[in-house]
Amino acid sequence: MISTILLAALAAGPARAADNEISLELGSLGTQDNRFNLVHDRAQMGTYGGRVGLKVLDNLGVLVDIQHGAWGNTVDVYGSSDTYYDETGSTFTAAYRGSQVLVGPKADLRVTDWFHPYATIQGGLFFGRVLLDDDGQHTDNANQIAATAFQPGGVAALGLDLVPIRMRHQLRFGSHLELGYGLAAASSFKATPPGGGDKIEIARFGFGGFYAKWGVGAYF
Amino acid sequence: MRLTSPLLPALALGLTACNPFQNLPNNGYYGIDQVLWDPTSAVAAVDGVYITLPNARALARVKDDGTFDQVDLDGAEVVRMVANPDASKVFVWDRWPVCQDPDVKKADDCLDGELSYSYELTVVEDGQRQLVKSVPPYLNRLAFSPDGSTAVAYLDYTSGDDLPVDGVVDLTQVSFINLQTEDAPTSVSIGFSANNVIFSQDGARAVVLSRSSVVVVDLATFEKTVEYPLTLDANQQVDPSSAVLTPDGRYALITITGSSDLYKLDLDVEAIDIISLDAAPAALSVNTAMDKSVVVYSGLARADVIEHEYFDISTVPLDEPVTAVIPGSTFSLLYNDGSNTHDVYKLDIASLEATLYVMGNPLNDLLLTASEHYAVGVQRPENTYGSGLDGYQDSHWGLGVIDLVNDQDLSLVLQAEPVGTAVVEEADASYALVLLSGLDTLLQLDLSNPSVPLELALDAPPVGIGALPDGRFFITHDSPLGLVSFLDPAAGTLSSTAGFGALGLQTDDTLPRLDASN
Repeated sequence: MISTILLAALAAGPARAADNEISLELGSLGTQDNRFNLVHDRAQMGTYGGRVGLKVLDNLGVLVDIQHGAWGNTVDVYGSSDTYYDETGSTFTAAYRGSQVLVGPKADLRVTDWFHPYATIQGGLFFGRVLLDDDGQHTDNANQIAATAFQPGGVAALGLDLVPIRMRHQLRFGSHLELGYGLAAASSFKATPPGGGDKIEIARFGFGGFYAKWGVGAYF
Repeated sequence: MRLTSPLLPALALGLTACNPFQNLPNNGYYGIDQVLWDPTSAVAAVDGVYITLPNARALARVKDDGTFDQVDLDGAEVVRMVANPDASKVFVWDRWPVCQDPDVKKADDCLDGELSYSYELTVVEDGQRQLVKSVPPYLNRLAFSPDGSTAVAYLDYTSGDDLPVDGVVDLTQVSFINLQTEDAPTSVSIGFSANNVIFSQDGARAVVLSRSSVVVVDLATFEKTVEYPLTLDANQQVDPSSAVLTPDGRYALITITGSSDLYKLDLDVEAIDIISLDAAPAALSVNTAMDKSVVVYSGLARADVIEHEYFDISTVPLDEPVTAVIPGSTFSLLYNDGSNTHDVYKLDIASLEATLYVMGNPLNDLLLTASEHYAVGVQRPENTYGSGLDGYQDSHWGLGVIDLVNDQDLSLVLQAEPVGTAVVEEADASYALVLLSGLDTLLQLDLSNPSVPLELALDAPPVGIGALPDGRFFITHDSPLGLVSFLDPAAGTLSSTAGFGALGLQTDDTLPRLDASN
């Protein structure tokens, strides 16, 4: 489907050039990897960010998209012995703060002046940090562990640009909705222990699944 | 650039904002079925403290420089571990899952009934697997010869746990392990429930006690040299409860469960004598320096001192029965760890005089300092107690301190239940170290003036305390991600190592050792 739209867009006449664009976005990224449940217990996680679209050719542009998200869980450690784990000692916080930077072509069709379906394929890098903390009351406790990883990934999606506000000048305001599939390779999150020494792996996961983004922005 | 004062708060604010641990997102809950680390499993060795990681099915070595590492057990998980007497090695009973279906790669994919475990005994030294011995997995205890060259694996069934079975179980068997070679262990059939092993001081012989028989094994050949039947009636069960060797190594003294008979085995001329006592002993202890044994009874208010030449018995009357004996050089300390009596006795072995100390509450245990100047014991609350100040003391945990030189005793009331106690001595001072449940402090009591303890702040509430081979101590803490402190009592310093619980936080259940056909 995506390739069909891409080909159709490239074959279409120069009815109107693709727009430049700056938008703010809210999104949702699928996390089918069960290991991600450590920091997020739902299959979709919310993101926020923005994108910049640059016109390259008629019906063809380049999108640069940046998304950010942060999620966390209280981790209950079961199987605890009554002799040493009490209610406060049997939990810790596991959190993830991540960003993704994606770049890729966007090909659109001008069905009407304000209705522009498009397809895009983007590749890029996911940068994330897993954080473990067993004492949220203090910022100087011994067990504050942070591990980072870079993950290559990408998305393929279909979308709609809705640009209904017509103005005499070039600047128009519009909205877009994008649905597709996102994927990021599983990576090892390695941390330097609090006391130093060799890095240790504290988490390993990737992303994958349905993703959606909605945004509003300026088209010019 | 010179930082002016208005810039400092801004800089501090900026740094705070950069702290990634501030305002961590926390939107839900996640459960982990097993603890990340088990503080009660900690075993101290010369190269660090070894701690099991149940969730990761792994073993960590925690060092006092703040670092830690994972011991590679080739995918096996720790069942139990113990250090040898000089703490140079750690012996690990470990196991790994095996699926009968060779195509299955993950434990979760293996059908019920097709998943089993294989076992081994691994010798770990300096964080590395040095030696692997195939020992029947149900032999769950080790006894070490005095020189550390031989270990004897035997079954201790006092816990009543399910026995790990790998084929069949021979309940008469013990396994002799030569720790200096890679030779396979030698199994020796001793007798039913062979669960007590003592060694001659020269390390040449092991005396193994089982139901109704005692066997002497030559440690050079691992062959039985003598077998002593404890009864000639096959229908009679004679279960040894404790055994000691006389300092010259010639005699083994054996007490029998529920019997007032004390068996004396002559290991040189293969003879058995029975010494009749007036009741079944509660404890038997050898005072090596004085070459005498002390026997106490739970039902008799007396101690019997037995000399080792003619085995004559001298009786010392006491005010109350005692059940435990701690040998000193010229005396033995006697106390009762099983009832609500408060008495502690210092029994002079030469003069047979008993000095009485009366504690505020019953004793759980008693520790003797190396110089034998002080004894320190944890006192437990009494089940019933009166009113007033007596009732207050009776209802609280306490610490008893006995000055054995000046014959003085003091009972202190503790704020909470102790989770660990240790004693340490320097050239000019003796200290008791006390950890209290739920408190982030370590109490260091100068035993010459124990009423004014020094408090050392801890990073987290303690769970336990253990001695390191070099005279320092390690303290385990209530911290799910792992926290161990190292205490140097001489310097009064504490350092800590954290985060080791996060090792293998996310593990998969891939079956180990698939290439080796399990």
